[in-house]
Amino acid sequence: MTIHPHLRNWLVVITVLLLVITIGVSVNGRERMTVVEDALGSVVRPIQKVLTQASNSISEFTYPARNLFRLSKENAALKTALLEAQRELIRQTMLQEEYNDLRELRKALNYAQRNDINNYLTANVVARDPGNWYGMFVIDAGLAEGVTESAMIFNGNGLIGQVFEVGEHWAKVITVIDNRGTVSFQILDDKRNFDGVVSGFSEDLLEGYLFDPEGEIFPGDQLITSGLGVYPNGVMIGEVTEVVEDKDTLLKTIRVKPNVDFKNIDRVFIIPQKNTMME
Amino acid sequence: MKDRYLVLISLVMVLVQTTLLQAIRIGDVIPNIMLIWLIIAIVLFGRYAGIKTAIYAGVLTDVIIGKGLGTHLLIYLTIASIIALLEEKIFKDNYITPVVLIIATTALFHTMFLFIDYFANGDIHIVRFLFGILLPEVIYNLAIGVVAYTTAFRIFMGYQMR
Repeated sequence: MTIHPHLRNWLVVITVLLLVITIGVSVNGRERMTVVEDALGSVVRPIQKVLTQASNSISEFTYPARNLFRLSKENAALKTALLEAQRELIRQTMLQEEYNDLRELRKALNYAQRNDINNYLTANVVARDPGNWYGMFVIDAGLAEGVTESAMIFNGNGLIGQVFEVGEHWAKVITVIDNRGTVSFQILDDKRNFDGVVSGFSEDLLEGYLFDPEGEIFPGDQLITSGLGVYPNGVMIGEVTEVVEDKDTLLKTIRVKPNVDFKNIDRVFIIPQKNTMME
Repeated sequence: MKDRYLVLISLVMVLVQTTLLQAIRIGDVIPNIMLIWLIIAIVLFGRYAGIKTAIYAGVLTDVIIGKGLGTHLLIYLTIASIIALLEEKIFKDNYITPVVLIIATTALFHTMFLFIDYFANGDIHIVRFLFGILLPEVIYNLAIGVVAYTTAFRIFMGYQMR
């Protein structure tokens, strides 16, 4: 088939323009996928699930060989113990008397409060980012299971991300290490109640800043979600690894190591987006 | 090669890329077999088969795992168009050809991905891009891609490469 060069050039220009427009419209997520996309996703999802299970089995089998020089068992045991201690610390901090006083005050002023952190769904990861950016994955739960767009995704280690697009029985998830979204945080410390935001920087780092330039934050501080934005409060984000003071902007830039290992996520919890509920 | 086989192989590549390949990460990097398949399709089956492969692979990737509809389609079409322009001029049976094409397509893929992300989010991380993703992936793609190309060449062309 021979296409006239003039017509071919116009075809290329029109195709590129259409694609750029499509990308622009869809790049920040859509409320609902098209029927065709949903149908295709639903068809491949069972195949992805089987292949991912096979992949996970292979990964587990080859893990010792691939990580010969790492003390993986001791490391995993230490991490488990540390996570338990962190969870206990969050529980204790949030039960402090002044926090209860603030809750009473909030009730008295009739403020809305999110109380849905215990109402979660679970799902399996069936496919992962085809590139090496670790920004996206697919789960095997969708609208039919109660998943909503922008629903929070987390696991036992902490915050993972949010739902980007949702089909009938599957959904695409964008992680916090993707530089698309921001997460508002607070320091897990009853004396230093400073807030800020972080966003994706690399596959194992977040970068952000405190709202208050005078606020104190140090390497080793634990960060949890503050409740501002789409994420409920109290979900572990990670640990501060570096604090850099920028004299030009007067902001303190922080680097945070997420608690979640984004390369090895198999099962996730989902908190659907709901309207905030009055107490 | 018939269109239905191009669609089927592209679908298998997407499924393997997003599932099984995750198990063979080395240094937290996986190879990009979609690019390798694209190179094989254009060079061995011709430019029109290559363009069609780019469309099928791009659409399938965007629908199944893509961040924005059209991202992978635009990138694969661009890569396919460039290689298609060179398709009749390159020495397909020379070992240098797949090496050069794999390095160039991997670099182009991630550069375009980065710029699309930049225009969507306004932020890019060059150091992470170069040393954390591009360089390791080029090495991994070369290791698998040259073997795949050589094998495909022998199967579809009927003789050994020189």
